[in-house]
Amino acid sequence: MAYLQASQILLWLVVLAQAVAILALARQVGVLHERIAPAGALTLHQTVRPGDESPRHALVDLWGRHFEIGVTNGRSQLIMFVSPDCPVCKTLLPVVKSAAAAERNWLDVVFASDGDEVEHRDFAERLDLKRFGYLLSERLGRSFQVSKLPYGVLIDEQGKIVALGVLNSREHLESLFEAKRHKVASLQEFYARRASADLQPQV
Amino acid sequence: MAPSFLDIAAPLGDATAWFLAGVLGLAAGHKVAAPARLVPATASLLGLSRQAARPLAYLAAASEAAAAAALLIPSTRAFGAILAASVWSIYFAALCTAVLQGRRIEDCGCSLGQRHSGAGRQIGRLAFLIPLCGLAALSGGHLWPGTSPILAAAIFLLLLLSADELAATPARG
Repeated sequence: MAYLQASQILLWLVVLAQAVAILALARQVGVLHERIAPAGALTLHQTVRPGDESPRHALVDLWGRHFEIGVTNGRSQLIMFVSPDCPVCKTLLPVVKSAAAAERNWLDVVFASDGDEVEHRDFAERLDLKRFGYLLSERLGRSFQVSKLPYGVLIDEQGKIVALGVLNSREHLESLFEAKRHKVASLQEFYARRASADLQPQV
Repeated sequence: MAPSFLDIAAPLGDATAWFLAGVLGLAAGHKVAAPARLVPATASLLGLSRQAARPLAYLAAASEAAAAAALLIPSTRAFGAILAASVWSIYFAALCTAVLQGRRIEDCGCSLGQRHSGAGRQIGRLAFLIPLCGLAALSGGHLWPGTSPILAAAIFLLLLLSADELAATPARG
C-alpha cells in the first residue's frame, strides 16, 4: 500500500514537472519567434518613397473594368507587378491570393504588368487572377519605378504610398502590411522606434 | 468493487472547478495588474470609446474574481460557474460580433499576456471553457477535495497557459 502511494505521489510530481516544462518550452518558442527579425521587402534606391502621394492612374483592365489607382476611396490598394515569364511571380501568386482573402476587409489587390495582351490574358486566366483585376500599363510601372519583379506597392486609403519593394516570399509581402499596421516606412524605422520606446521609462 | 459514476464525477467536478477558478483568478489578476492594457482592449473589443469601456472592463475583472472565489466554495459553486459562463459568453458574443463586422481585434484582453493571437483562437478557447462551467456547476464538491483534484487542476492550468503561448505565436510560412 505504501509503495502504491509513493508511486502515485511520484507520478503526480512527474506530470507536474512535465506541465511546467511544456509551459517553459511554449514560452521559449514565443520568445524566439519575437527575436527572429522578419525579412522585409527589398526597397530599391529610388525617388518614389513611402509617405509620398501615389501617382494617380485611371486604367482599364484586360476584361474592360475601370480601375483608379492612388485615389482616396476608403480602402487600401496593393498593386502587384508580375509577369508570365517570372518564375518567382508564379510561386508568390498563391500567397498573394491568400493574403487578399485574409485582408479583404480593407484591401483591394490589383495585378499589373506590361507587354503582349494575349500572353497576359492567358496567364491571368490560367492562374485565376480575373477576379482581382489585371492592368497592362507601362506608364503605371514607370510611375512606381518598377525595375524588378515581383514588385508590390501598398497604397493606403488616403492615396499615400505605405510601402513598396521587391517581394520574393510571404514574409516580404507581410512586411508591407506590417508597415501599414505599425505606421512605419521600413523595418529599420520600426526597430529604431522600438529601441527608442524601450528606453522610455515604464509608467 | 467497481467505482460508481459519482465516485468518478465528484473528483472530476472538483478538479474542473479549481481549474476554472485558476483561469478566472489569473484573468482578473492580469486586468488589475495592467489597467493600461485592459481599457483599450475592452474598447476595441466592444467598439466603444475608452471612457465608456473603462467601467465595463473593471466590471468584467470584478465578475471574474467573484466567480473564481465562488467556484472554490461548494455552496456557491453553481453560482460561480453560472457567473463564469455568463462573463465568457459575453466575451464570446463580442468576439463573434467583431469577426462578423470585420473588425480587427489586436488584443481582446482575454489572456494573461498581451496577445495578438486573433479572434478565432480566442473564440476556440472560450468554446472550450464555457462547457466546463456546466461540469463544475453540476458537481457538489468539497471545500478541500484532496491533493489529486488540485494537482490535476494545476496541471490543466499550466497546459492551458502553454496552449495560450503557442496560440499567440503567429503562423508563418
